[in-house]
Amino acid sequence: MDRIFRVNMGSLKVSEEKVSGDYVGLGGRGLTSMVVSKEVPATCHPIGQHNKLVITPGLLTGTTAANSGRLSIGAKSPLTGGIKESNVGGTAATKLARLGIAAIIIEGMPEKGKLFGLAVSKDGVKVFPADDLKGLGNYELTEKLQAKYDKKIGIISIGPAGEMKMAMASIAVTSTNGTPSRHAGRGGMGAVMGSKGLKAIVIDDTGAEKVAIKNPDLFKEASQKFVKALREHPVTSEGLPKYGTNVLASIINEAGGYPTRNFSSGRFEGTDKISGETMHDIISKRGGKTTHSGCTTCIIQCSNEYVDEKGKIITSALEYETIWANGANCGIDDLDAIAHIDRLCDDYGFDTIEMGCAIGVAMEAGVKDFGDAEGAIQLIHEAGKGTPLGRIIGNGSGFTGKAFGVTRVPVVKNQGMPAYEPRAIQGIGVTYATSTMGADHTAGYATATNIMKVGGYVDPLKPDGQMALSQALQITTAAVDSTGLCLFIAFPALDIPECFEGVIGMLNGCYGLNLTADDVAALGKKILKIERDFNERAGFSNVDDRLPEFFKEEKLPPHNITFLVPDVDLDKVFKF
Amino acid sequence: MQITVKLNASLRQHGRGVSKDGTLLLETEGNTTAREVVQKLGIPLEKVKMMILNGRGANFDSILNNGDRIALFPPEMAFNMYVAISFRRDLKS
Repeated sequence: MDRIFRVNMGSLKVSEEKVSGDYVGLGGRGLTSMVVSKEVPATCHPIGQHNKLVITPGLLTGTTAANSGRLSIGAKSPLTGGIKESNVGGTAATKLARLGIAAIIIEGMPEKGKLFGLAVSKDGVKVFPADDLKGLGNYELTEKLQAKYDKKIGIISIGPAGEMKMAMASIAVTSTNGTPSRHAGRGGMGAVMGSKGLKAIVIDDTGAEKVAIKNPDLFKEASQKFVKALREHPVTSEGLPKYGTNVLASIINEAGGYPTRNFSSGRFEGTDKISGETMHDIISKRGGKTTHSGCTTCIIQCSNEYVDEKGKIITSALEYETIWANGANCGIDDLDAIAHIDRLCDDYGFDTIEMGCAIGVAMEAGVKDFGDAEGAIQLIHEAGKGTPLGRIIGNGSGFTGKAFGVTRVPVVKNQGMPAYEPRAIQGIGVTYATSTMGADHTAGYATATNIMKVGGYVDPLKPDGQMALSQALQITTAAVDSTGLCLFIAFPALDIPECFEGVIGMLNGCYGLNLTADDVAALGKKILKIERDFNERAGFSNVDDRLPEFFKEEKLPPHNITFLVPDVDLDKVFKF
Repeated sequence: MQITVKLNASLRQHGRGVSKDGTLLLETEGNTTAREVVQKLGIPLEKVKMMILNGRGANFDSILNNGDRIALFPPEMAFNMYVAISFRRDLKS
């Protein structure tokens, strides 16, 4: 995996180079952030000609390693104005890696209104005109491209939201079932792709050679160790496959940390109707799939296929964040309506978290009532069609709050918050506040106890220990995001030492290295420093590392608590 | 005294008289511990990885009072790292 393709959308020229210099030894988030940091002027307009869209598989992607099918997509974010790495599963990453591709870098801008596609195969990368695909939703687009090329191709694409360059536009990646249901959702990467006039990338890995492994024996042994841990741990072998990620709804609600009606309460009375247990029962009764592998090489299978009463698939992988954002956060307790919303967001190409946050803010403003599922669906159609109201919603929670004069707007660095209340789970509040990505739940999720020797109980309602916890988790997550491995490996890694040994062994076996846990932590730190530096050059300072003031002033029921971690602690997160 | 117990995921098969959403009302003596509640329901202790008592993290020695609500979670549910570190009883330092 040492080929970098550059595509200039102005001249429509493609060039190939070998990975060299600062890019050696990096993959996934490490590589996207390094390229953006080195090549994108921090002060550039995110949807102007100087921004670049960087698409990279992880370091272990393309090998036989389990759960290694993650793709990183990076650029300067139109939503936050800072650096962004948006991570997605599906089928594309493995195909790119098998073709020996470490990165595709999309540069420049075409003549206004022109639309193109890229065809990636063992023969390289070719640009094709795509004006005939203009305005298509991801579902119809995917079907057309599969009919033209092959059912087995991987597709990376944008819907109308990306073409309209909306700040919450996502980039879709096809799932193993061929639907465009995996999304690099966060940060408006779809708008950057749209600004480049790029509608779709089709990837055909026919004839690709196996990814070279330097030390096959070491790799095999480590890989087996890793698989054993994933198969043994109850979260990855039972919880996630059976109930999906939404099994978390009952826990977070019970803990009083399930943001409800635009972050005005930590408990939602309708949680049982939209919980993982209920979803499991509905899907089983209707004959859908409660367990499904959405990403290449996945052995956890947290995905599902949610079906209607006739057994027809509405959407694949109805997930915790989506259900929360468009459910509890909007006061909606109708799982069928939420599944429909998920389908619409996937088709138009919207980030489901940002969409739910923006609708919550619009409901707070009285645009629709909380609990009005039909109203929420109508707002998504407006956004997808680009009406004036729809463009307000489609540009995110912060934009919507400004348009309607709302002060309770749950964003950091203008990015909408995910499904954990920072007043009830204060550690995640530290991560929301300080992450280089804006309010992001995945930036701080990983193998804390193993790498950083941080672990043990931290009281979620107290400020003590939260800074150190968030710091350790952010560092390790940055490293895991570079491997191409799924973040859910963190759970076995927390409990089974062999799991993380397996990860390091696979890296060493694949590349012929002698990395230790300390080297992995050092990689995480290096990535965070690069990202932090970019954001500083883009105009961010420590005042941007704060939660909105209502979190410090409004007491959240049921615990009646505010966010208590002092600013001085927030300023220490990047002092390492 | 009376307490509300909420069983989640695979623990639901253990309680008699559990409603559809996994809750049941339990009559107990005063000063009951969470361990005694779990035992009274016939749930093996190792099947309970996390407990949340009135919205706060709890362990087997936590004392329950009249009107309390305790939610029990099996091992397959303890994910999200912040949540795991905040509520898993075995990580209690």
